[in-house]
Amino acid sequence: MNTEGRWNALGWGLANPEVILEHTLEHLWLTAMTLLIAGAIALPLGIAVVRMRMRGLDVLVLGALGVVYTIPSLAFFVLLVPWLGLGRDTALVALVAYAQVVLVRNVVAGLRGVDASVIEAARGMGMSGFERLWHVELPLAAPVMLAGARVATVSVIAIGTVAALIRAGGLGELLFVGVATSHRGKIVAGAVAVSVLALGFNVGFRWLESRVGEVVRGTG
Amino acid sequence: MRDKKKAGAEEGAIRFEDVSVLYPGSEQPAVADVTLDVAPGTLEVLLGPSGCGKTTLLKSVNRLVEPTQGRVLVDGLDTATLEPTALRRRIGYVIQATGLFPHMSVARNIGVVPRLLGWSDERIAARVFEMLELVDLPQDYGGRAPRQLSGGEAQRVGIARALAAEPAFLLMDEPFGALDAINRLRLQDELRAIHSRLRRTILFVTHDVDEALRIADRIAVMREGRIVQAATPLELLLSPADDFVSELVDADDLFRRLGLMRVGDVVGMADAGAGSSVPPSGDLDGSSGVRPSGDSTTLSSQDDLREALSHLLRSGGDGLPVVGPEGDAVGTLTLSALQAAARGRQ
Repeated sequence: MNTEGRWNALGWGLANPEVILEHTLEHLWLTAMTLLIAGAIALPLGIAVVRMRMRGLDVLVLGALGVVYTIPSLAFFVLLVPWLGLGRDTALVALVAYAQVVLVRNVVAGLRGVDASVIEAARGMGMSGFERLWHVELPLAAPVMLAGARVATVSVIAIGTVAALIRAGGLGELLFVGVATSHRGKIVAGAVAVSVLALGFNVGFRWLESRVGEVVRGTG
Repeated sequence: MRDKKKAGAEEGAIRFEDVSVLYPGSEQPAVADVTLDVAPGTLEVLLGPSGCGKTTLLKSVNRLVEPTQGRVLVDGLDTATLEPTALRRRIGYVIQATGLFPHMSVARNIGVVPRLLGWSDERIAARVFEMLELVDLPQDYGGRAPRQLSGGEAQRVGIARALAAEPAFLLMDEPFGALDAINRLRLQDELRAIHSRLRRTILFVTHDVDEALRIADRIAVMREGRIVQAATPLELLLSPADDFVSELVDADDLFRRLGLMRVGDVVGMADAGAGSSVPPSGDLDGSSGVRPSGDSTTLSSQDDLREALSHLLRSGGDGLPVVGPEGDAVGTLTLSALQAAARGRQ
């Protein structure tokens, strides 16, 4: 019975690849949209934190984003429902908010990590603020920013499973339905798929980081 | 207000007018009431101990630092009225840490300002070729990353990058301070050679007295934000303004003094001024080659007096004949003339 049950657990997934694929694509879509939107917010926000010579601005912004990050994901999703309703968009809002703290922190750290003499040279040679950012600071901060994107992606993939509770779809649906109906096959399939996604992105981003790092350090 | 003729006359000049810089939160001004004229084509050294304000004064030229009082004129134009980025693209800037962009090849580093100025790719490539030649680096270095360069090579690229857009001015902030002694001397010589070839106005900050005496046309000695004395290296040694300058330049060192003077300065005084400003070139090396080494029976007016003294002592005689740049006899250098020079002109 026991061994047969385990066989069934894997068997369901093997028998229903199109269901897993569908949920995986939903999950990927949710993750990709989250990162796109979160990145579009975090990059200018991080740049502003570094560029604006306001004392304590970084502590304020990162502190506020850190507080958001500590709200349990389930509670956050549920909190947003009365306001934004059920569905993907609500899930996106929550996931974008979660991704901010990691992304902004790494944008700030990356930009601050650029060698001061390089920035002085760029200024002294007559680069405008934008030219300096575009030609010097962003390329040199890229490896650290990419590390932030990697960590954010992996956490969004993980937290994204909870989004299934508010009808956002994704691999979480397999997990929750599996738990609710004691369907071991769905649980295993969902868990394996989420893990593979997270590990795959982790490896992919790491490779990208090291390639970019080599270029940026001039060792490539 | 300022007519074109006047601006033309001041082309290449840097002028500090009563410049003071007070950093926020600081009681003492970093630079206090500095007035200084740097003539076109001069290699002017700002010399002084750390914290004397020399770097701050330098940075007020390209507006990395804004004067709290007074004004800085470049080409006769008040820099406060100029767009900072446009101003900086006309002024080469070299710093001790080189500040080379690590993610760009040597060639791209050299081409940065030309690219900002919108030069064509062909023109930039040609200019990069020329600049590598100028700083004596092999052409295949263009493809290298800054990380692959030695300290001396990196600073050569720094100089090439600063000169790439043909600026009339060059600001150098302790450019050789991080190099070993041999590389430092070599780059000082090369900077002199580049300077005499290109005749840019160079403002050069250092705390190294030997470096200042070796390379400078003129030296402005600074202390606590003020200029204590601005003069030629020789004048600093012969008539230091006060004890501070005297101790700083070690004015009692006779050999140092002699090393800074040319034979032409004491013999054949008529062309002394012209003689000392003529840069050493291949021609002159050729003419001194006429005199076989070891058998020093003739001196060149280009030889420094320290060298001349050793030749004179080795010859055992009272004096040696001196020839000018064209091999024409200009006079005789005697021990008593050397003594007078070492004592200084009274």
